[in-house]
Formats: sequence, structure tokens, C-alpha cells
Amino acid sequence: MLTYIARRILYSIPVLFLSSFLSFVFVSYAGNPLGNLRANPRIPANTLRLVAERNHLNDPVVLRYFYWLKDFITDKMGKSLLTFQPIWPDVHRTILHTAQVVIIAETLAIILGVAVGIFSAIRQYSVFDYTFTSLSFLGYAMPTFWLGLLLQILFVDIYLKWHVRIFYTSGLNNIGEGTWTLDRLQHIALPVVTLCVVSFALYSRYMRASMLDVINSDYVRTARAKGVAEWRVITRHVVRNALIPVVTVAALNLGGLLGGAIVTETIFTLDGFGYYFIQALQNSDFYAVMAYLVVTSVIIILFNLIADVVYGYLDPRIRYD
Amino acid sequence: MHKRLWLLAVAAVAVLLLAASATARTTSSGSVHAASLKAAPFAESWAQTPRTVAGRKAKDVVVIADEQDPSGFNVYQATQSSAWAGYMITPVIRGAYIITDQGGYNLDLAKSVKATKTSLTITLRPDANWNWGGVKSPVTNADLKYTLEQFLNPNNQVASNTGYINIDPAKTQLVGTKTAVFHWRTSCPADQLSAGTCAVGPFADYRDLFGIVYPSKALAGLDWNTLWSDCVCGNNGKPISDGPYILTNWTKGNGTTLVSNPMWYGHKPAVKTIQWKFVADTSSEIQGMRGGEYDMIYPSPQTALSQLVNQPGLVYNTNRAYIFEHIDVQLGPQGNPLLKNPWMRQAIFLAINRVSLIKAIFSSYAPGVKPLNSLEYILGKAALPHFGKWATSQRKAIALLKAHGCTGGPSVPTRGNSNFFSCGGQPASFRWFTTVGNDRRSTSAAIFQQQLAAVGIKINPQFFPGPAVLFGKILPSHDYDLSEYAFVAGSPDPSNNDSIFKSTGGQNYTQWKNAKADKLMAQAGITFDQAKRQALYEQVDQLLANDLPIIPLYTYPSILVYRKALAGAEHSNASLSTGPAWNAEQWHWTS
Repeated sequence: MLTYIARRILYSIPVLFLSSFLSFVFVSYAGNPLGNLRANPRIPANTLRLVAERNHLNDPVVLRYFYWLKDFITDKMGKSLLTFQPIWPDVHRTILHTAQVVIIAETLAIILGVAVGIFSAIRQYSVFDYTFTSLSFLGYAMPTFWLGLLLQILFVDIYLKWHVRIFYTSGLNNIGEGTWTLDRLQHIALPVVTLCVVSFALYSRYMRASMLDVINSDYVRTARAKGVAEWRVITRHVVRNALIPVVTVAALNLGGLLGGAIVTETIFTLDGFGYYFIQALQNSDFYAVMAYLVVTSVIIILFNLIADVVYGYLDPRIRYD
Repeated sequence: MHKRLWLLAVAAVAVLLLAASATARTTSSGSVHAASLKAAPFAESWAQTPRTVAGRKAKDVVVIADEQDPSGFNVYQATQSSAWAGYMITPVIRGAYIITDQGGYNLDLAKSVKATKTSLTITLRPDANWNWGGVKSPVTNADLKYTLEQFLNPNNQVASNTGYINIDPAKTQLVGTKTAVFHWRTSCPADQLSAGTCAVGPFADYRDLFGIVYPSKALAGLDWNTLWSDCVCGNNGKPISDGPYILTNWTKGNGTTLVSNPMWYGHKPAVKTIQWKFVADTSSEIQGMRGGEYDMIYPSPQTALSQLVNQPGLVYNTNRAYIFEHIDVQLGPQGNPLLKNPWMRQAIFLAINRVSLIKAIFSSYAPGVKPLNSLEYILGKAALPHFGKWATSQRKAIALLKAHGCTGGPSVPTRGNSNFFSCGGQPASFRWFTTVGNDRRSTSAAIFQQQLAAVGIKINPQFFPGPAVLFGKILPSHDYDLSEYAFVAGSPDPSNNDSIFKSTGGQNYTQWKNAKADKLMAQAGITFDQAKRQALYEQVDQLLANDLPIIPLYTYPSILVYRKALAGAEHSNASLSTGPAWNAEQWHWTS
């Protein structure tokens, strides 16, 4: 197993370099920091020259990539092209904010999704099954920005009608009050619900399908034939095996969300990693954009690896070469 | 496997707790350091802010939604310059003048300013003081000199050095501690002249100079390009201000706090604290305003604002912003030759209906928006409607085209027409370039396409990313026929537009060349009498209205929504860099 993990990590290094190079080329061609400055009618030519020279904007893109790479490796991701401020503190701050919201949302989604998936499979074609199948599809199809806005309007209307502040519509924190205070939960509740709805739909569908696969397998029939109680068959033999693919999907989904709950973070003004990326992109701040892309690439690679390892860990039949 | 699942669950919960705990200590500000006016993190300050309007009224606190997290507060540094940072520091760092919501220039730090053809004399108020970490010191002419030096330093990435480069720094005279006499340059080295770092002669737009005065002592030894990147403070990290408020802290991604400055020379602010709370999304901002989370918003114009127009307890104020949407007509060799004919440009202007466009775009949330009929002046009495003579008349447009030998088009305006004119063998078909992802511009492209088709003129809209392609490549290359976008003016003074309209102007993308207009603008550049200067620019405006290198559409609405109980905000809707808090010292809560 350890050899397998080491090999996968080694394989990831050239992949990271290649992806960072391609990202840098695309980002460089997609945006131009001087383009934003030129919108100012009075921008001096000397300033444009200084910005271009200091940021190597007149050099070939390949050379610029190596300038960036040097800063990224030797200077903790380098400094913002615009503000000259170090990038690492911003990445550190925002990724932890994203992690908190995403992990809570994913935990809730997994618990609810698995429970609903199990029950839907056991009561296949029942009213419960049809209801949650419909709700799952609705949740999956609903655009995040729309759901977020609906939730905001709902809770503002509640406030206006009854003067009760249940949840806030934006911001991550009234920070002085601590991490697990009611105030914090009032702020992050709506983004958590928004993220949770989409993931819940995914997990409940996966769990249901996986349960139905297992529930009709030979060893389950054998257990029933041997007179094992139905609840015991379900909990011991069906659920445990059905969970394996869901765990894999959850690991991959978590990795994806950590890198990019962009829409949710923007709607609710969460000082998160996705929103940091959007701001950097709008400002054509290449180095900040690149920091996001590299970190996201690492997260995706890491969670793919975790998914594979967890799969093997849970299913002893899997062996790694 | 049962055991393994449990282990996995325990690991997941551990990660969750770890991540959640880690975020608890991520909000401290790196901004300002120890002092008697020590900057607490925004978190602490915000935690003390009442969550209800009534509570905020009782504590004299105002919460303003801030749509853009600043990149820093040295807003005259080109890459730190952002509108919202400008709004935040207006009550903190002041200049010789302050620009009002009606585009007027009020003396601020300056007691008097006298400009002649040879010099500019600024005398500072005797009671203008710095509050640097609680220590009072006068704003002096040394600060004016230091400010000038920063704008002229070739290593500084200044957002604009217009006017400053007309001043000869070697001849600056400091009289006493409050008066500085600057002399206009009479000559420039050839290399500096060509590089645009030196200009000869007086600068009539002198009221836009020293819009900020930097504290020379407090900033000694600091690199101007990086100062104020995380605070407004001196070289010892203590906050500094010469305005009615002090910026005491900023936490990235959260917000900024201003507290009243007891050493401010003017009217003592009744509002003790202003919290700028960061909210990136305008829809969230609107809901927050409805729900009592904010007391004032200054939102980007959008349809969703219609929810607030008649909301009880709120004042919905609309003003004109100094951002004018227009259609550029390419008159150079890269453009369609038909557009070189004034009658074709007139036909286009006559065919489009700006009123219906504005109705479609703005009626629900900015009902006061009207077509823009002047380019040099936007607000006030000077904004004479020279372009008003081209009021929509599609019949006149067709008649004009026919009178110039165009054939093949409709004889009367026809909806859904597909017969287009051809003039001298050249089809009346034009490339129409604009930015992608802008609802207003996609709407106007669709409306204008239909309206122009009705008179036999075809446009082919194409949408490009703004900064990277349209502004960065297409406009400077002049390779387009018609292009819709907006110009953002830096001040109400019409000389801001010289670079757009002068033959040699850096932003003269249309390649309009008019010797008379050039002469008038040059004359205005050395005319200090404001009435005479205005008359010169009015003439330029008339020439523009005759030649039509640019078809003005509308100015963006500047919308300010605030609680009715917040008195003194009636004139706060200033759309320039001064922003909504330019007169915050006049605000007070009423019962």
C-alpha cells in the first residue's frame, strides 16, 4: 500500500508541473493587468511601463512561467502582482473558511443522503421513495445561485414579519464571538444548506442505487435463507457493502468542493477560497490565480488518491500493485 | 469492515473539528500595530456593532455594505486603485478640495487656492491637523511638497500624474508652514516630454491637483508603491488621518472600521463609528438592506434593486454617475468607409431610440435616467443638451440615406425589415463590438439591431471580454466599425475627456481629428476663468454633436439607498471617487 501511495505521489509531480504550465499559459492569454489600467483615461505611460517591467509582462510567456515558478517555490507562492502583498496568508485564511463550511455541509449531506438512500432502497417504489427521488432530482437540478437567493429572501421576510433574526444573509462571521457560537452558525447556515442540498441529492441517489445492487446479491439471499433477521441483513450485510462506492464519491466530491464552492461563496460573501479566486481573476492578478489553480490541483490529486486508498481499505478484495 | 468504517468516521469528524477550530483564528487583522489608537481586528469591532437598526441608532453607528474588498488604501497607486478603497479613505485622508454630489469643488484642507498662468498658490487651513496615533500635528506645506514629489517620482506607479507634471518641483516655494507656491514649467527635457513625464505650461484643471495630501513625516522612509497596503498608517504602524474619521482596522474579506476623529477641523461627526461590511453579491446586499443588516448601500445598478424603490423606511436616491455609455464610431482607415460620411453617422443616431433603450434597461430601478445629450459636462447647469437635436426619427434617417444615393432599403421604417441599404456600392452593414457578459450591452445590441434594421442599416454584434480583448486589443488597434462601452471620468472637470477627443489623445480610439476642437481644448487648458473655460468646452461639445464621432447613450445611475432615520445623507450620493461617505460628518440618526 505504501509503495502504491508513494508511486502515485511521484506520478503527481509531473502532472502538477504540466497542469501549472498549461494554467499559466491560459491565464496569461485570458487576462491582461494592463487592460484594467488602460480604462483610466489619465493613466501615465510611465506607470504602464513600470507595471509591465516589474511583472515581466513583456517577456515571453514561457519565461514568465519560470519567474512565477521561482517565486512560488522560494517565496511561499509569491506576491500579488497588484498589491505586492504575500499570497500565502490569503490562501491560508480563505481555504480554512471554505473548509469549515464545506466539511459541515458534506457531513450533513452524507448523513442525510445515506439515511434517505437506505430507506428508499428498502421501501422501493413506496411513497417515501417516490417523494425523495423527486426531491433529489429537484435538488440536483436547482441552480445554486437561485437556491441561495431564495433562502436569503425567505429569511429576510421572516425577519421583517416577526422581527426574529434566524439566519444572516451574508458574511462568514461575527468573528469576535468564536467559532461554535450561535452567531457563527447563524451566518454559515444558509451556505451550508445550499451546498448540502446539492450533495444530499447526489449521495441519496448513489446510496439508493448501491443498496439496490447489493440487496439482490446472492450472499444477501443466503443470509435471509439462513433465517437471519431482516434488520440484521440490512445493517450487517447490505448497508456496509453499499457504502463503499458512496465513500469514494464523497471523497471526490469533498475535494472538488474544497477547491471551488465559488458560486455559493460569492452569493453569501464568504471569505473563501473560491471567492478569492474570482476576485484575483477579475483583477488579472496572475500569481493569485495561479496559487488557486495549483492548490486546487493538489487538492483534486490528493482526494483522488484518498478515494482510491479508502476504497482499498474498506474492501479487502482490492489489492494494489 | 465494521471497525474500518468507524475508524473512517472518527477520522472525518477529527478533520472537521480541526478545520473548524483553525478558522477561529483566521480573522485577525495584520493591519495596524500597537499604539494608543491600536487597531483592533475588524472582528472585535464588528462584534460590538448592534445587529438591529435601533441598536445602531442608540450607539451612533452606521453600517454600510461594501461591494469590493480593497486591495489597499493608497488609491493613487495604479494597481491598488479601487473605487471602494477610495470611498473608504475619503473621510480619512483629505485633499485641497472635496468634490460634492453635484460635481462642485468645495475647499477642504485648503483655505485658499490661487492659480495664474505662472503659478499655483495653495494656503492650507490653519486648523488642518494630522491625528497620528492620537498625536496632533499640523498639516503643512511640507506635506504638499512631499505629495508633489510622489506624483513626479518616475519609480512610482501613479494612477495619474496629469497636471503634476506641469509643475517644476525645483521652483517650489514654501512660505511659512501653511503656504506653498508651485510654478508651472516653462520647458521640459525632450526625453521627458516624449515619455509623458513632463509637460509645459499652466494647468487649468488645478482643482483636481492635491486631491489627496500625504503626511510627509509619517510616511518618511516608506516605499510609496507599497504603503497603505493593509492600513492607513504612518511608518510606526499607527493610524493617521486628517479627515473626520480614522480608519482603525481592516480585515480582508470582512470589512473596515472608521471611528470619528476628534482632531478634525470641521463639523464634529455625530456618527461615532462607520462599519463598511463586505458583501460581494448585490442580491445579498439588497436582502441585507431589507432585513436591517445595513443602514446604507451604494449598489451596482441592477434590476433586483426595484425591490427597494418603495420599501418603507428607506430613501432611494438616484444621481448621475460619471460613467458614460456611448457608441464609438471608427473614422480611421480600419473602419467601414461609409462611417466617414457624417450623414451615415447622423442616420444611425436618428434611427436608434435611446429613450426606449433606457426604459427597457432602467425603468424598474432607476426611473430618472434620461438620454445623455452632452459629453463634456454631465451634471449641473453646464450640461447643455447639444446632442438633443438628434432626437429619434427613423423617417428622417431613411430620407437622409436616400438623399445620399443609398438604395435597396425600406421606404418607411419597417419592423423586421430584411432589405438593407447599399450606398455607392457599399452595403450599410457594420461590425458592432461590445463586451461579453454585460446584460445592458446585450440588451442594447439586440434593441439597436432591430431599430437600425427597420431603417435598412445592418449591424453585426460581436461580444468580447472587456479588459483582455476589447479594451486591451481591439480599441487600441482601431479595427472596428461601431463599439459600445463606457468611459469612466476621474473628475467632473471636462479636461478629463481631452485624451478622448484630442487628435493626439491616448484614448482617441475613434481617430476623430478636428483642428478647431484641438485648439479650443488647448485654450481651455490654460484658461483659469471657470466661466470662460466652460464656454470653450461648450464649443467642443457642439463640434462633437455636429461631427458625431461618438454617440452618447446615457450615464450610469448612481444609486444610494439609506435608512430614512439617517439624516444628512441627502447629498451623499457622490458618484466619483469621493463616494457616499464624502460628507459622513454631517450624518446623524433621528429618532
